[in-house]
Amino acid sequence: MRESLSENLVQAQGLVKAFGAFRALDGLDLSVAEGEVHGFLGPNGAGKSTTIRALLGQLRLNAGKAEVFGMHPWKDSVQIHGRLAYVPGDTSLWPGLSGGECIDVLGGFQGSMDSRRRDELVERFELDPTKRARTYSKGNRQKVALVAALSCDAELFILDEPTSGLDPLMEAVFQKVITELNREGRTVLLSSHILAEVEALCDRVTIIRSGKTVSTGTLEQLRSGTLTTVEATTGRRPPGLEDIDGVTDLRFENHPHGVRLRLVATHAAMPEAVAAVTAAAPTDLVVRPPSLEQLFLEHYQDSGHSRGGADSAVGES
Amino acid sequence: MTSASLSLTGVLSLLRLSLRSGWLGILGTTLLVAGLITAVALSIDSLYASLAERQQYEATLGESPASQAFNGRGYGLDTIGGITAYEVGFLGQLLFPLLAVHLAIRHTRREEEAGRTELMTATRVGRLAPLAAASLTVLVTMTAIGVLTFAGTVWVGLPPAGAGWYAAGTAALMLCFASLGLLLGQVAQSARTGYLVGLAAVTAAFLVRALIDGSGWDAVWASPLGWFAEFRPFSEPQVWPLFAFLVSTVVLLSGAAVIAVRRDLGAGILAASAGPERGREYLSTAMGLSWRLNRAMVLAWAVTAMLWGGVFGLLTQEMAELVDANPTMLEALGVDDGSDVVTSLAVVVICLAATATAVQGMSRLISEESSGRLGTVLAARISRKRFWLGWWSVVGASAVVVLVLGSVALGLVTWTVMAEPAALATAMKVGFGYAVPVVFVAAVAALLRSMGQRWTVLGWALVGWIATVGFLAETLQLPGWARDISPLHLVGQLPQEDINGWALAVLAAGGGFLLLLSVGLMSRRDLETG
Repeated sequence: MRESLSENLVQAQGLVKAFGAFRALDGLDLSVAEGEVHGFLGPNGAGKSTTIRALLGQLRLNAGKAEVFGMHPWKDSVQIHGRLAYVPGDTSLWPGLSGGECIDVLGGFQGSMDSRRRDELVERFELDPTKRARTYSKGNRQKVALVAALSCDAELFILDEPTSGLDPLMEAVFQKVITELNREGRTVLLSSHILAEVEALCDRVTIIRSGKTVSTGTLEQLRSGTLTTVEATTGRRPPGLEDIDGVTDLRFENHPHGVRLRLVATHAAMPEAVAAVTAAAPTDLVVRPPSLEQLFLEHYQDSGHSRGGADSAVGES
Repeated sequence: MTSASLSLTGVLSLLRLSLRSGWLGILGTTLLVAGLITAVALSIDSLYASLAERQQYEATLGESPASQAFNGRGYGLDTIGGITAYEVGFLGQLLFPLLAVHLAIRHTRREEEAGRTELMTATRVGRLAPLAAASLTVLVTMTAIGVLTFAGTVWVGLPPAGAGWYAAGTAALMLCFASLGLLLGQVAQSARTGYLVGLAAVTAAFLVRALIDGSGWDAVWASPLGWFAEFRPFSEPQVWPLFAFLVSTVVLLSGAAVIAVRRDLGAGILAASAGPERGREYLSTAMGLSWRLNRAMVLAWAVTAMLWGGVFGLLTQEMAELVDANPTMLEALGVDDGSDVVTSLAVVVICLAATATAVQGMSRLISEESSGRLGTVLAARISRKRFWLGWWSVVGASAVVVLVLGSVALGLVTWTVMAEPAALATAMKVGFGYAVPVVFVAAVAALLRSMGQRWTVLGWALVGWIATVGFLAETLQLPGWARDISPLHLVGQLPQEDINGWALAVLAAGGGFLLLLSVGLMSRRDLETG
């Protein structure tokens, strides 16, 4: 049934959720394809958690269409929940229960927890399951939620900033576990602020701001709309650079051993520009695509100078 | 010593902060205490206007050991003030100390548990400042209570000297128990543990006093609640109870300060033990989780109910002999059999424990929802409807179990003391008669909880109203409809009256309807967090 409808496990269009006068979601789109790790990004308060809560059927949408496994998140919540596992961003546990009990309570309600896998993950995340939850630090609480969710035999994992509070070693364990799950064909929706994590894990990302989708696609596609900086030292001035469409900000500087040049090229103009520079026999050559950080900063910022295909979704200013 | 003075740095800003963030609770506590006393005084003033009426009261209710067991000793019962103090007795001796303990823990351990103390003490705030600020907050509240009580009772027309003594006594009593709360706030690692230990301490103090006063033993010093009546504000005022309360306060506060200086932030003396490595399977069902999270609370109320039942069972004989020998008192109390009076009053208390179990069990879902834990559980494959009904059925059943255990304890002890097996049957009959009202209260609590966090507190108002109708209906001259808001009263005053079958049917149907309504509401609304 799933295959016949679509290969998107999560399909959301034009989601609107208002809390009084405040519109937390304002026409948000999101689609997560089967088998991918999908990054879900946005500044604080952009509506990531609200979207996730709506997908889990904890909130009723004011408008828009959302489907998870082709089903309605509010009406069919129980059927949907049987096939997914969820990790909240700020996990609260029952203070009087031990960590191990909390894992088993959560996994037991989910219903598909594999107890061998649970023990393995407890070990890999170096968690002491006999401690009472009230004595856990934030990172340890997060580990409990991660172990409970990741040891479930689910098709879709919805993780809302799952690694906040984890140390770098545990972050690495987390990335490894997610990669393994993904190789088994499981789908992950990962909301995160840790860009290195997103870059390492995600096939596609969706960036939202003020309740709207700003941009969505593979990291390559996101980069394609941006500008790359090229710097080189050549013996002579490479000819014809000025004539290439998409090359701007061209600067030359005389240097004891030749000419120092710097230019900015669009994704399309890059091969031709680099070829022209190479033809001039450079002694050094640096091609710098924008870092993910720059990319996201660009998308997060209020003015949102998103270049390329996603312009239509950019809001005010 | 500089380090000592430094450890109090920031106490005034902390005091301002706690007055600003906790003013609603402080105001509510103040108004509740002063309002209750003033309302009782006002009502006594009109009920027993003439000296002859008051002398009649003194000779009947004032002499009755059951009344003394519940209310404490009465002094100056031929005055309006004396009767007021006596009538406030039962509810006041439980309510006032509990409010004080709650206020103290609310301003210490709750703040610490929420992590706000950690934020504050990371700034220029000394080690003792949070405790000192909480003590000052308590002192401010108690002063306000004293002043307002004095103003209210003088306004009703009580003599200023007596009113002054009584107001000071109330403030001193509450100050002493608030200090106990401050100590518990240092000792217990969680606020919940603190509240439960405080409840146990107040119950124990009350029962010790009830046993002493009900049996007429000469040992008023044995319980701080016994000191309260010994102020004798409206006959010959005594100073020693004031000293006793103040000395206890100083001792308790010193204990709290010693612990506060030495302990780690966030730690207590009653620390958490290690827990099981794995969760049992039953925990992953709505009923299992409900039981696991509520069982400590259920146990506490069950023990309370059984203690009440047992202690009042012990008093039955004295009471029955005295009442049966005095036909005017039988008439004044409206009973055929002296033991019925004790049974009736004790069962109301047992019902309060049972309804409190119900309301507290549903209130537990407030923190479950606001912390996001409910949302996490409901993100698994359990429907809201099943979770809700599972949780509720455990809470409702626990409330009934508390009722039954209390009634059995009352019946068994009465049987032993009176050597009359029928006593057990009577107690059980009364207990079962009130089972439907108790379940009805659980359904009301469910509906209020499903409406959202703010409404849940109204469940406690219903429990409070049941107590008021049970013990002060005559005193406050409540109209019939107001009494009928208490589902207990609707069914009838057992065992003196027969069970009203219609009321039972209406409550059962109404309870079922409210429960269904709560299920409907719960499955329709947004979760608040998670």
